[in-house]
Amino acid sequence: MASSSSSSLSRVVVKSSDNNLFVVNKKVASQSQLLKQCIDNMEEKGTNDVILIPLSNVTSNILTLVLEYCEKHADFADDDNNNQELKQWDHEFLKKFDYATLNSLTMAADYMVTKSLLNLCCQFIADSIKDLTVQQIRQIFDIKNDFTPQEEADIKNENAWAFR
Amino acid sequence: MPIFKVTEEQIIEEEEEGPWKNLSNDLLALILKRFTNKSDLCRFRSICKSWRSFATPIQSHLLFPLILPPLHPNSRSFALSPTLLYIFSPKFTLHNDNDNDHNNNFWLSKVADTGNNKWALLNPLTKHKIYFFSSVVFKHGINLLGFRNQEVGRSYRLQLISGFGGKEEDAFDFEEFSSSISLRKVVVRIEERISVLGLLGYGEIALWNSGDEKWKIIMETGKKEKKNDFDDAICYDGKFYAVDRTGRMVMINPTAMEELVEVISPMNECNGQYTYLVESNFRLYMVNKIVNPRPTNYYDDDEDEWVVDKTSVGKPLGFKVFVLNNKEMSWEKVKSVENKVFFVSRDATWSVYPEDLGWSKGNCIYFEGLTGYDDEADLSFGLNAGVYSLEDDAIVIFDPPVNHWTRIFWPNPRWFVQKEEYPECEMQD
Repeated sequence: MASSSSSSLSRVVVKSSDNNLFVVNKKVASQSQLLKQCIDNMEEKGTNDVILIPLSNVTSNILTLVLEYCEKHADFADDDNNNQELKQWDHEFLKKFDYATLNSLTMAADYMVTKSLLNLCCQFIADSIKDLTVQQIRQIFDIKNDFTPQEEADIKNENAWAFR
Repeated sequence: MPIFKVTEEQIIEEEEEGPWKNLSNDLLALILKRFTNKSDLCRFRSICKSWRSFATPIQSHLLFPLILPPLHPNSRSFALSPTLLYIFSPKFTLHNDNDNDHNNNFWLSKVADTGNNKWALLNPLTKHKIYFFSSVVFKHGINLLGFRNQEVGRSYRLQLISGFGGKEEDAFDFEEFSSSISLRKVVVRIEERISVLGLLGYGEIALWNSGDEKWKIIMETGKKEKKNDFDDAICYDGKFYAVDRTGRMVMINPTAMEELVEVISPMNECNGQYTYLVESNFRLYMVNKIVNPRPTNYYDDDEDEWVVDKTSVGKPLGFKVFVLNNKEMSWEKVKSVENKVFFVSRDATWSVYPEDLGWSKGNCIYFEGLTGYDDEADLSFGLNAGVYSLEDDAIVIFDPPVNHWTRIFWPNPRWFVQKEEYPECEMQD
């Protein structure tokens, strides 16, 4: 294995799109497949220097949140027993954000290949769609109604529940 | 040396309409994958043109109704479909609103798919069908886009499918079916494979995984008697669990083809007649109901004779609530359910945040009544249905049937049939 203890990195520096630097513990960074890939590549080359990973698509606000998530999940990575606590934490985590932040967070999770965070975001979005009226969904997601009257009529038909 | 070449074009430009409309197809697909119901898919398709064109009406992952093999070689196959528990609300803005009138702006109801794109509304505790006096509702349907409908729970049912060339009228009702061969509860786990657990009348457990040709009846290893007498079963944290009235719990891992494993042994403290499992805030709760097992007799002075009080059978005398300690695998008695509202009935249990019902305080358990004595039971609730408040350790029976506790699901609020789409069903004041 190339990653012997002498050449393994303990920390990396991640740079956000607005040029802020974040020092990240390797275990935390490994929650993102993108960062993990970078670290693995550098370790294979046998570099001992601290590496800098620039993320051109992620602002520091959003990166802070992704790293908060990664840190929590890294803490629990070896502990199967505390599943409930982590699930509860996940559940509360997304509730704090507005939908614009949620959008950026989803994009960032996708870009940084943090699969569990991406799944969490998508579940949250799906649940929002399930729970809200069409007007509310358009409002919170900032989407205009661009249907023609004919399409509107079709939609109305599609959504009418026939009871018996 | 930079690891990535950063080019200017990679920076996402936000469109004036906001970023949501332009979600990549990959992300849209990920979101779409999470809808297992046609109604959710319809809602998704009603937002804008681009979402509509992305989500075709028929998605292969829409699972239901799912066809399952028969339990016995000579009987018919089943159709599995979910019954959804909704909180309907006419309001667009919710929560943090302390207006007292709000109590009537939340309505809890079960919606069951009865086949052929038809639906039935059911009373959440008794499963009785709710009929509307206005036939217009039945002619035109109810446009669910006009309401906020929040899915707060779901249960599943198995219906017998008619044989070759059979008509839909031949399909048995679940209640009818369950009374004949006693399939008491159906629990479903949806992962890569779909696993279905059926709790049979005498507490036996039947298990089916998608792809299996037959159900597997599982027995406890090392136990001589056939009877297991399980009261309730649940899917919790990816595994099936079942309990009996003593609090003894077994775990069944649906994909590992092993027999069931006892994880908690019987408890002296759990001495009621019926046990329910409820999931709430990712924790597993057990509700033990103590009821009057025999009818009480009383002397009627007017008639000058002893009378058997039929209604006293099954009268709830008390409740005990336990929470699962995951590490020790044991039940711990609790005096609170974290301010949530529990609902327990034989075919489904669920938990709701009090805010979702327009309340500030929860910490109570709604329970089903007996429907055996149809002549005496109120059709809307059954006999001895009620609510148990953990805080006061008090039981309120729904008699009279309409009060503060019951109006979250009975009767149905007028706004439900009075939307502007159907002016003809406006009622007279």
